Amino acid sequence: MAKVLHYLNQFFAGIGGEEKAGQEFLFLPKPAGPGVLLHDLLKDGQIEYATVVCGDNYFHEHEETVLASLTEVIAQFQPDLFIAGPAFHAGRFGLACAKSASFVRERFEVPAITGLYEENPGTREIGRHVLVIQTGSSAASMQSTIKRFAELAVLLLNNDQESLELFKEEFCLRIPRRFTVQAAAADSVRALDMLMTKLRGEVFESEIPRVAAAPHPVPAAIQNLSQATLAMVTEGGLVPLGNPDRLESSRGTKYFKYSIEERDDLRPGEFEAMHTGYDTSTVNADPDRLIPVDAMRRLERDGNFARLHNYYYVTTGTGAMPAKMQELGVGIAEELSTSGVNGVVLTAT
Amino acid sequence: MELELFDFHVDDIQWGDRTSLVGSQLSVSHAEIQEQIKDLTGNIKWNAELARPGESKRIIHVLDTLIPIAKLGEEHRTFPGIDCPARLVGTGQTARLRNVLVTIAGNFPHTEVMTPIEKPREGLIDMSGVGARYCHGSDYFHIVLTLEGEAALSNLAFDQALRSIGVRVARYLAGVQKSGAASERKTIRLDQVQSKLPKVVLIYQVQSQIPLVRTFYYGEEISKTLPSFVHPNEFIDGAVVSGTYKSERKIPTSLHCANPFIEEMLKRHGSEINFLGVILSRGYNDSFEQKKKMGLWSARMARILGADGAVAMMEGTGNTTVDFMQTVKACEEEGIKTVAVMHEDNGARGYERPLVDHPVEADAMVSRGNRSEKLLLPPLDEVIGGEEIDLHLKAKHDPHTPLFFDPTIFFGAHCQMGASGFRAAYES
Repeated sequence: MAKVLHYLNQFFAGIGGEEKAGQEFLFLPKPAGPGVLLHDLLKDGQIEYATVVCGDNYFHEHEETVLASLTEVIAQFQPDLFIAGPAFHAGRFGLACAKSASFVRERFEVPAITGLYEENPGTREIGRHVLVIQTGSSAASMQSTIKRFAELAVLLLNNDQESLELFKEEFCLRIPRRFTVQAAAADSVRALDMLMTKLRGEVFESEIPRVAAAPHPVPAAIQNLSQATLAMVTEGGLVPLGNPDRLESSRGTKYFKYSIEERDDLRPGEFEAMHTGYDTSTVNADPDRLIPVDAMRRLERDGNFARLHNYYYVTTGTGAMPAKMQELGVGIAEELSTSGVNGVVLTAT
Repeated sequence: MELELFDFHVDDIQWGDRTSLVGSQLSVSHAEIQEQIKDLTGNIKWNAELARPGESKRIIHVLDTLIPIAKLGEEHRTFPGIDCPARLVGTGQTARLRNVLVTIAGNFPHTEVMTPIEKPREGLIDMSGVGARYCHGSDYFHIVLTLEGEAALSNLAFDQALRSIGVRVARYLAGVQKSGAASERKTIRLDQVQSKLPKVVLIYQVQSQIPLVRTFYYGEEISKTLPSFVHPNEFIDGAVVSGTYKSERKIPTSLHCANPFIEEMLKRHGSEINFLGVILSRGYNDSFEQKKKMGLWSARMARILGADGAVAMMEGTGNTTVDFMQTVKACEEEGIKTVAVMHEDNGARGYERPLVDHPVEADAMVSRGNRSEKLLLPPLDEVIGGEEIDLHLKAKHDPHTPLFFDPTIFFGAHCQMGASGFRAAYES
């Protein structure tokens, strides 16, 4: 008998609305919400059906705990198919569907499907082999969406590859992403082949598209610098000695702020740089060369600007993913602007 | 300039009382290896293990791999300048065990005093399973030497010792007594060819920054240098040796010596192309101005050599892409049609921008795949080289449990993903 595990949030599971968004992870040995209809549609297949429920906020605030609980359920229930949602245009639920479905597919190689509206932020978190049924923006299309879920579930449970391809073609969301595939020959052979074509003046196709970086407009100058509060921010990985918060030395995913209040300079032995992308010995010998507290204090005293912010902000830029850096940048900028900071000296390495 | 290369292929490798190649069976004597390296291992504990293609073995903490090569009947030595005075190589006769590697694994004695850039990155070689196609070496027979430096040894002394140990054992194995062993004999030279074939160079950009993150040419650290012109035969004889431990992104010494790009260009020399030779350049230059100049000089050298076209490849990742792209740009501006080969970093979910730098001139790119896509890697039966996998300084991992990680955990991943024919492509 095939087993299906269905992931829902508090709302679709019928537990409650926003007031129940803190609902902890829950296992139900039966279908719930849209799962009832889905189970009905699958009944001919003698399906053992179970549901896991988690509040929208709880998932994002306790993601590791939720995924650990999900791991236990997978180990005990051993599903043949994992279904998440559909989430339509619901952002938090869409992200939870994408993350849980990707987790189950990637870690346990269990086929996983979800349903999202094309603009749902969850589309950014979809693992390579998770199938995403395209839905409308609201739950008004629930009935027809669940019928699609049932069709796809049957194809997956029967491992009907041919029909699966047709189904994907017609009903699944296309999310253009780059993954590793097998080419016909080694890189050395393809490089020489491409060069021969290029030298003959014939048409060739580059294997890596040129994706232009988003432009970063230069902000307007600060009108009255002598009244301004300035802060220092770096991707150079400068942290207090011993790296108390465990900032990553590459591919950073966090940022921290550290106090420079009442400091006229940063002394060696009190700070160190966590960064695999440059030779940090110069910065360790004089941390002011990355976060120039000494020079900024001098400028502050001379009245070039009003005040130096009490904290500097730091992350590690090397090998980092641009999307993650953008997220960290937004976080830092928000903190700074709500602290009354007017300008930033941003040092890169 | 002509090199006579004798390639021996082995079918199996085992321990024996004497080191010898009989037919295609390689026997290795532990005592004889010990004799070879005893003066280098005063402060180093070591052990040796064997690994064969297809075995359920995972070699961890791999620092370098070397292909056994030895000069025959002359005073010249392979790996010139490493553990011997430098003399010019690339001529005479060389014996090579084509599918054998001397694999150096282990830990530095004092990682706690290393700055982050100096710290070795984890490098696995999986002899079978999903990972085998992502790491350099899974289709070779290995003599794995696991080294543990004692506290009395400095990191720099350990660095020098491990290179000398690898080189000595590689020379020794290739020079071993052979009976009934058939070899494939190749004469390698860049003959004059008919003038209408396009003249092509290989631009070969390495990582060389500071001790523990460097590459050697005739035993000399490639530092703030001008690009150099190198004959392919010199690579085959070990003129370029790796001294960087950025595992997944490094070109291991064995791939400097037996490089698929050099081999492919030699193969096509005289029929499709006129292979002029290799321009050895250096990435990771400190400033944009320096990066640009390295590109300008490499392009100018290619032009002076008369190149119509170039294939460019690079070691490393991140900011060295700028040095590389400046080279591609400068080549195109000098009228040299260029194809450049690179890994991509599209992120685990595949939507990140593929390259950190991509000027319009780089219009002919060959991809080596998305190195940040995660893989589920079941454990293999046996682990060689240490107790714990280091997840790039962020966490430790028990090698007997499944690992969910991207290809950057594999030794020589950039090169091998290319050699395996992997590329990235849009998938919807």
